[in-house]
Amino acid sequence: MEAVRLRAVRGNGGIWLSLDGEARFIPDEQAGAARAGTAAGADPVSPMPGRVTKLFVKAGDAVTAGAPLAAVEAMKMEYLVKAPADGNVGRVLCSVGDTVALGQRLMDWEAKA
Amino acid sequence: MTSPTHPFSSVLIANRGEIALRLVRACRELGLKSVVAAVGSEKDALPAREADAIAVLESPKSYLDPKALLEAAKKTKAGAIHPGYGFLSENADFAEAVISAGLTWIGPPPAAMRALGNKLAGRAVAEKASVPVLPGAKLGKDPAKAAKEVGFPLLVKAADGGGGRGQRMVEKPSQLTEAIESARREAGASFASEEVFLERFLPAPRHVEFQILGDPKGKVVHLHERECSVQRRRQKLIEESPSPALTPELRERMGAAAVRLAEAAGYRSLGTVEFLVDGKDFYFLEVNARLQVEHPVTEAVLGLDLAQWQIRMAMGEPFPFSQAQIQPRGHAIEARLCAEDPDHDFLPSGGRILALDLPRIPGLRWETFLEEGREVASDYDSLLGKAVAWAEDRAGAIRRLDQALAGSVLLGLHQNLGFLRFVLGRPEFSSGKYDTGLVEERILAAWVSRNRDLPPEAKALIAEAKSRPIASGAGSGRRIPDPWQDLNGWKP
Repeated sequence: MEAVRLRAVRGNGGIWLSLDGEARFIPDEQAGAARAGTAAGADPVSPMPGRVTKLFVKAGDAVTAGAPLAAVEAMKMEYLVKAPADGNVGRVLCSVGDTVALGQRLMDWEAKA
Repeated sequence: MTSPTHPFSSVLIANRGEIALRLVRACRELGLKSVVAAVGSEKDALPAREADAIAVLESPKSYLDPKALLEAAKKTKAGAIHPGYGFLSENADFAEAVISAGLTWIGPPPAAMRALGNKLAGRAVAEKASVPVLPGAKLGKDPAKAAKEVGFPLLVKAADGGGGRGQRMVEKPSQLTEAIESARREAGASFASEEVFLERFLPAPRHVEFQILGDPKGKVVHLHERECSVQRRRQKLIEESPSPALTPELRERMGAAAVRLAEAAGYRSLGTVEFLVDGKDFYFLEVNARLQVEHPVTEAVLGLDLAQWQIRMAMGEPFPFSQAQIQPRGHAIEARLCAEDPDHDFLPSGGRILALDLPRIPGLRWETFLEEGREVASDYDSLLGKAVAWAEDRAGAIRRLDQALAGSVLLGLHQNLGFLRFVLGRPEFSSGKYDTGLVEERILAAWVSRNRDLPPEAKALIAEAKSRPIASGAGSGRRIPDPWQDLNGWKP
């Protein structure tokens, strides 16, 4: 059986574990809750720290699931934030050029009942 | 060493990160002074610390600002500018401005850059030099019509792009408009121009590139190939040489085509001719008119220092070897270490480096600027560095690289070491019979569904770490290791 090289260090919001080179992150309780919220897709959030480069919608727009809502750019890569389901855009909480954090809400969202 | 008379004794390195460090060290070995262009937050980073002087830039955007860089060269009395890769490295206007300012441009002549650096212009030169190209077209007034002529699936490509940025695949006509807009935005953010064009998309090609070298006397040789088919979203992950796909006959034909193309364009300095290989056929893709990220792969199999030769040729020194004398030995393979989260769709990551250990192994080379305590910001490309292994044969090189990655520690941000090892360990890769679809079509699904269970020792280590104080990694430079903060475990 091969040896597994392990190392752990605490910081940057949780425990970082090195497992034969691979980094695993075990977030502190708070950070964990924020990420879970992101995963549930309740509101359109930024998938990464970066900059908003485009808004495709405005408050009140009705959009279908998968439609692009905003573009966020980091490290010269652009990611599209898409509608999690059919629904309406509520307040838009960011502008083009804004710097946004991982998990930051970009707009309110009302899913179609 | 014979030292030719040369017009400069110091070089402004208009770049950052691992390539800036590589060039600082190349200059030092050549007896040249180096000046690194750095933003305030990187004034104390490794490249800046090892350089003879620093030229402070206002912001990360200054790397794309010819005026700011020329001003920096003037202020620090640098006699030459080395652009590295990315940023303005393939911008002929900048090269021209450097030369007009009375400085030496360490790169190809601007005319050759114009003839080949732009992908559209490069296709035209290739056709003239009887180098095969794929069907392609400019957008023109009617992009839909142009697309129909090229045929689907096709790629929307940034004419001034590189590294897969500003590029979108279009499977059907309805996707064309959004793809063009999106590619334009990305091109505008990353490169000097927003121009895009269309080119036929090959579903399962290999991506093989030839290193070319044109010396000051006009001699052009190729320095053999690098296989670059291991890509994700058209970004190279792993490169190797020789390519497992080339027969000696195909290698000879492609090498000769690369040289013909370079000669047709009056090329000097270093460059790379990228080809798509489809069975026994090959097609010209583009020329990268600069030093490339993966240049150490070629250095390892040829025993040549390309970064130094690029500078030496800029000083007027002819390249002494003939094509027949350039013979590769053994096998080299490179893996790119990136700040991204392979468990969350490879989203860019950042953060302060809390722990770093890159093992030193004979036959293995690291090129990186990382240090414990340094903040990795999302302002730049996600490339953190690269590991290059050399061995007598391919299997040995893969094993060596894998062992180096397995023995590495990089904590505090998400990174792709585990994913790189996963690719190296897959039979689809080790067989050598892969194409550019390898990662996305055959490996990603297996990666996502892999067993992520932690061994019991890891769980114990996490529990123990939770009771420890938080590592700050504050400040920059190397942190003194704290045995109570970094917990090491070993599972026999």
